[in-house]
Amino acid sequence: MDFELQQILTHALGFLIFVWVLKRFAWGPLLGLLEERREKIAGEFDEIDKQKAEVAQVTAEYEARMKEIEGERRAKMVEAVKEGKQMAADIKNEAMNEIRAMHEKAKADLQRDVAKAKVQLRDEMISITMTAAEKVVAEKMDDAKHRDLIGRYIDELERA
Amino acid sequence: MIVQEVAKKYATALFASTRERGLVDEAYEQFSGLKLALDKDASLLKFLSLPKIEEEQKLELLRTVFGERMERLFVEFLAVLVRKRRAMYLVEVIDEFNRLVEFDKGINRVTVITAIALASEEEANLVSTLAAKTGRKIELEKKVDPGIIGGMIVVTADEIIDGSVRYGLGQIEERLQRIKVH
Repeated sequence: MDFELQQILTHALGFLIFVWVLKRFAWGPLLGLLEERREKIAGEFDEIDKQKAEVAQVTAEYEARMKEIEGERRAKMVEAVKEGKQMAADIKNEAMNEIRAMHEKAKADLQRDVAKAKVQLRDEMISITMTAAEKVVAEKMDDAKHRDLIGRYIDELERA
Repeated sequence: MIVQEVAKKYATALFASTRERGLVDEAYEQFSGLKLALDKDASLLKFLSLPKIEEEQKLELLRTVFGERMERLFVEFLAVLVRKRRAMYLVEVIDEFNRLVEFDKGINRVTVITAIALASEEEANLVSTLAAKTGRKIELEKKVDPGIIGGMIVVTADEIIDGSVRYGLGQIEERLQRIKVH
């Protein structure tokens, strides 16, 4: 029994020495390691939370900007439609004015042509009439008429 | 408008400018010589009247041919006729000019144009009437132009009295042309 007791005591002592050594040299660093790991994990969680919050913020900002852009785009489109409407009206007006001007010009041209044709017709009629008259008069001129005209001319010259 | 009317305008201008410069006698002599030459040969006159030929060429010809032989003023006068497209009336212009010069010297040359020849009695009547009216001796120049149809035209130094049938018809034509058609 003595032997066993001694053995036990030796073991116990050895164990105590082991524990002491462990505590003295290994425990601290081990616990430190654990603490470090715990802090690291906690830090990572914090980081994740932070990132999540950032993402949420960016998303919100993005959406807000999108809404803004949407609004701007709508405003631009409204503007574009308005402009388009104005342009269409202008083009239409211009076309109408052009048509009106063309119409006026055609009318004026026609009137001028008609007037010209009338004058031409009158002149041609006069020309034909005068040619005929000249021919008739020339044929009717005989010596007596010549003498009469010359005599009357001299008489008129005398009186003038 | 009869030829003499156009001719008279240019002749009067020529007479005024030559008298101003004391060149009337030179003009009378040189233009009468030119008229004689043109009466014999009208080809130069035809060339000057052709519308197809450039004005510059005509003027060049005038200056080359007459530059040395005529007074500068006279050559310029011919150039004016060419520019105004009246070169075809040159002979008539000279005729009217001569009439003005002669009138200035006391000779009253009167041209009478009839469609048929004047009878001697008519001629005598006309001469005495004109002499009475102008108080000058009349030198009558007779021309027959059937184109005037009938009546007569008297051309004196200062007027043209047109009593032709052609003139009468022209008056009617003018009146007809005044009718408004629009």
